[in-house]
Amino acid sequence: MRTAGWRRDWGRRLVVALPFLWLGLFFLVPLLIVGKISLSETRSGIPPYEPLFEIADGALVQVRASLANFALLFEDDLYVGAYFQSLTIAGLSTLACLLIGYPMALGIARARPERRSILLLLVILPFWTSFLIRVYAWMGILKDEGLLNALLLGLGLIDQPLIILNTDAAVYIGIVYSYLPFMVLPLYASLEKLDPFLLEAAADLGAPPWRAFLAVTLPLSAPGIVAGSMLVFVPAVGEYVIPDLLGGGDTLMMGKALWDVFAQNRDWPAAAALAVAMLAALALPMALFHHLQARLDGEERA
Amino acid sequence: MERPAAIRLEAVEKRFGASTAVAGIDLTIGEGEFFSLLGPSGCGKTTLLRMMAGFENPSSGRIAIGGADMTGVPPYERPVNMMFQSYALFPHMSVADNVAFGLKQDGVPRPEIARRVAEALDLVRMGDFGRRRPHQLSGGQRQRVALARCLVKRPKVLLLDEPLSALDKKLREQTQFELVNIQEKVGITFVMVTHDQEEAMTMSSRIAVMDHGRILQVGRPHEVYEYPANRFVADFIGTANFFPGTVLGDGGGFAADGLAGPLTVSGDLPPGPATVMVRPEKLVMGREAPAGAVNVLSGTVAEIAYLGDVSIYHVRLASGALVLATAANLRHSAEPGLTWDDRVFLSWHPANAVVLR
Repeated sequence: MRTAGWRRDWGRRLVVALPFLWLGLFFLVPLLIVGKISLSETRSGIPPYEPLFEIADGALVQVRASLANFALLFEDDLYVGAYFQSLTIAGLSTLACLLIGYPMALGIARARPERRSILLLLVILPFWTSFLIRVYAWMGILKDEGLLNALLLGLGLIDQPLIILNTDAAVYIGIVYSYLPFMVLPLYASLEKLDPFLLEAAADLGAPPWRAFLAVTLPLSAPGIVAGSMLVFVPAVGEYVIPDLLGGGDTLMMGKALWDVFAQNRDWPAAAALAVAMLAALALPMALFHHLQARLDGEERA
Repeated sequence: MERPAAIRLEAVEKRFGASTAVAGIDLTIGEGEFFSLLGPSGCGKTTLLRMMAGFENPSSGRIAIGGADMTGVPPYERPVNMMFQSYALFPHMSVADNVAFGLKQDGVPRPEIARRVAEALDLVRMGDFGRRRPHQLSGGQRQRVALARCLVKRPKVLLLDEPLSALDKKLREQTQFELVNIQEKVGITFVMVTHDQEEAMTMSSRIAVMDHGRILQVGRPHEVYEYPANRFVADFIGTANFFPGTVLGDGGGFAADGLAGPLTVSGDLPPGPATVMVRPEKLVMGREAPAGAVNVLSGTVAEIAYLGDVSIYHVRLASGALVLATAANLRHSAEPGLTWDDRVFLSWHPANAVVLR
């Protein structure tokens, strides 16, 4: 019995340890390296930064860490501006995804069961084509002599081509298009679980459909709204490809700023500092949010 | 019933595609009644209830509640409330908010809501649980909250869909009386759907027995039990012994298939094929042939089901047919009682049997 119990425990630990090991090796360690680089100074050479620890004769001689790179981020309006622009674009895109995705998810959840799988398949279908190719396709649609303008001109709705490509509008279109499935799927998962009798009960107690929606459907799908918004907002903040391909010169999101510092300026320490700051600026509010929510849940149960 | 009608159904029919769930029902339920729709699953009783609530629309026919035609009236504008089989309590609201929900929809002022919610929760003995969430309650408590949530709106009619089916046996029996007491206290018409004949018998003032979308008989509990309209009702409510055969007419009695002598039936019946039905507890059983009795059958005890308060004897007749007879276990240990393979005589008074056509 004891041996069996021990073995089961051991097996359980192994199963848990493997993903932790994986994440530790390929996420935590690289992150620490980035953190280390962010504290050092730039230089020309390979690698293009000063070593943090100076070791001579097997003994630690000197530690040279500086927060100068972080200070730079706040001194330069460029980075602060990129930060806020990233938050704005990601936030508005998330909102747009929610407004478009919610009716979609609700429609799928209320469709006849045999139709649901087809509708869900259609939501996932774009994933079968490479993300990059789909963004390039949007360039073809949005450019001045692209499909959209050709259509609108052909219909006589406009007489001058609309300039959409290389503007913020194109970035919004690209992000909303690319991330919509990530909003729809968790929303669908939570709406599909909704007991239809609850809506009947609400109607029975005197609530017309829209009030039943606000009082029952919406609050009970809150977990889906939160999950979907996180899945859209977080990657959208750090999005690089979409603003780079569809955005204009004045669209500066953090991912693009990071790339510029890293590849164009070859300033690894500054880029690393930017990456760390970006992570902190995103992860801390999110951790706080989760903490608060866990506490609220705990109170409810108490 | 001279009582004014709470609900009146006229030729109500409901078809789902090719199948007919409810086939032309006329029914009037009086104000203040505790009315039960009783039948096996799939008999259309729940569909009928859902049409009263407004969740389904009749394919044809008319439903009037409190004298007002309900055709085209959505559920949220009907003066009825429904208690769902699963209770359908809102999981994200406290017990008090669940009960207050309906009053908020009606725009009742806040102080009155608070007062009426407290009243309704006290009525179902849940006054101390207002701040709990539904998932923190037991099944019986949830059932009472669901009841309070309906009653607080003072509907003309309360519809109950299998209200006790989720409770265990002991609690169910307790709750039966509690529900009836509450109904008497508030005076609201209750319409209950159930498949449990015992539940229907205990609680209802009248029962409609349904099968295949039709109402087979409407009557008070003892009427449907003692004088079932047909074989289905006799079989569905309680246990029954059936003797198929022919009414001979001219006072000649009833020739039962497989039995030697004719049976005596009460009343003057027109001749023709029929079935005599006798309830097991109406049979008198003994080792000796009762003197001067009519309708005497003899057989041997094949099976005894001892239930404590009563025993059910399965008696095999010479014809091979099995007859069920119930005998109360009146004494602690009866004199050497009847046992397997004993020869017994069964008899019944003609007034205690029913001839079904």
